[in-house]
Amino acid sequence: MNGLKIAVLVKQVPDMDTVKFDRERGVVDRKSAGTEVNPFDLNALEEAVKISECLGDEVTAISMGPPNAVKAVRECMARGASRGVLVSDAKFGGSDTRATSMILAAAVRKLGGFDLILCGEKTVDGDTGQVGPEVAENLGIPYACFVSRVAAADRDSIRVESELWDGTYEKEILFPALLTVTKEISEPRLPSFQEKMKARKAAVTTLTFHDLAPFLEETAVGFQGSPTKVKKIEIPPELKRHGRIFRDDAVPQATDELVGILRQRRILA
Amino acid sequence: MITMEGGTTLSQLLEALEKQGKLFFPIHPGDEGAEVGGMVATNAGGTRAVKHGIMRNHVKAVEIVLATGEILHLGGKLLKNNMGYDLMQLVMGSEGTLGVITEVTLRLYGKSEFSNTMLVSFQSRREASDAVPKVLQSGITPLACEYMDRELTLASAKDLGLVWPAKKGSVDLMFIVDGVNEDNLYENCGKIVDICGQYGAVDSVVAESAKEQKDLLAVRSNCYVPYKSKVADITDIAVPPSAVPDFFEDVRKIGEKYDNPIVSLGHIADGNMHNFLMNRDGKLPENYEDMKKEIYQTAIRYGGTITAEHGTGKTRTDYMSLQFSPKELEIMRSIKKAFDPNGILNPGTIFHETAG
Repeated sequence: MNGLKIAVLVKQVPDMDTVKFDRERGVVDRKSAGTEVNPFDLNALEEAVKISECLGDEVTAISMGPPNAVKAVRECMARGASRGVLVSDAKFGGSDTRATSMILAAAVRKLGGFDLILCGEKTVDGDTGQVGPEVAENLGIPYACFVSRVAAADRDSIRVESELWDGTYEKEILFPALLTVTKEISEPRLPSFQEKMKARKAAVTTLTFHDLAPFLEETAVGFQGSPTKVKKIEIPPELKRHGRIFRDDAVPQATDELVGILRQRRILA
Repeated sequence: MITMEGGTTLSQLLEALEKQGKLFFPIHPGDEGAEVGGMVATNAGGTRAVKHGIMRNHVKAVEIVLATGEILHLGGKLLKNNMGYDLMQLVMGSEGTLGVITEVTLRLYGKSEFSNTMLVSFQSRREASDAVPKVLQSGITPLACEYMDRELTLASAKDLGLVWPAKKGSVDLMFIVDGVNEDNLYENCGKIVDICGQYGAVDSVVAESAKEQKDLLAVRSNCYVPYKSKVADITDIAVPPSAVPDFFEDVRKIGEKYDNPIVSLGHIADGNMHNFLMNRDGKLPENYEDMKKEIYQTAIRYGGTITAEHGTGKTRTDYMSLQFSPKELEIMRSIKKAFDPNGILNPGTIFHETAG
């Protein structure tokens, strides 16, 4: 049975709970933490696997990143992706969202195109939310962002809901299409131990610049293809609590001060 | 090793270790507000005890202030020390009845970078509890091995707004496993899953990211919360690990006898089970004392103890004579008197009487 061809775009990100910032250089110290699959991308993967379970075809996980991002691709395979692709080349280093989306769009073309592409609404390390829509623009396909529910899907189209501002937008999109999803869309499953073990040894296709060359100019990737130049990153100083202790007689004064502070910050009217 | 004041919190200790980057302290009783002096006084345990034991295994020295105002320095930064009686061992778990702990020296260990958390599901308690001794005998020592009735984890996950990822079966074992590298880690996990499979495991899932592992542990730690109003008491029994399957069966029978829908979870590989004895119509059941006593007696018959980690405190003083002989109690009273002749330290704890 020929079902939908589905791709999920995923990124390997540092574990944001433990990652530290190099304050002097103004960059994320990637060595300070382990890596994981961008959590929003896991929501996208879960939804893709659910759709594929109904409409029966394979899900391809595609990630652009350094060679060790193969781990993220394999994690996706453990969680239900039937195929994994790593897009990796030294030439891609330093790519901003524009260059990244050109590279990912080229990878999608190289792989023969997909009916449906899903990705997380944004990554937890970059936080831009630009790559998904840019990939769709580069491919010239319609897209819906911040999708929180798939209402219906068949072989030709998908009906989705996005919560934007105070409303729920229902959109019906003909394939091929791209969706960026919020974490509300699904609860990512944990991989079974058997699937995890299989995925640890699974073959992952690697695509280099050379493979994508028919679809990609060298000037469009890496530093030279990236109009975004980060001049400076300012890391807000750590907030420290300043405890103050009021004893016995000072309690009324403490209450007044507390109410004063809450009013000043407009927490109390 | 690290020396700190007794009032240092576990979170301060962990923060200092995180800054240092390479060393690790294994005992984590759940709440990072716990003070190290208190963790010594209560001989704290926690979920990682399977591999790393309890507080007692890691305390190298303490400074305590006696009721008389005298200060003792017990132990030292030593790995071997056989001179005289080891008074420091008496201080651990003494619950503030022998002195006030003002300084603690702990042993630290190299950090293990690779760990994951697995849930292995079974259809029955018996199958799950039979598998655990076999895992331990295979030579793999997980950091933690927790048993949980599914009813508890479903309620706990719902309470936290999470989804419990195990779907098949009706009870789960949660293994926290570590390894020197990733291959070694998964090799250990593979052995555990194989053994559990031989005992009828129906499914296993694995969490690798820090957040997913933390979520599983959070559900485990929160199990008590949704039951707060429904529970009459939670036992803290421990029996020899190999006796857990039979003890479990006996607890089930006692529950049936007293018509109490007991649910259970616990540090099963330590032989330490928490059984939730339920209220009836929001009240303590009439037969509660009898039921509790029967469970205690059953545990002692297996060579067990009434309290594995929560301590004697004030609520279990009545049962001291159930577990100890008159001679043992007499020696314990003499120890109390030697440390605190006027009985002014935490009176009413461990023993009823305030003066010796």
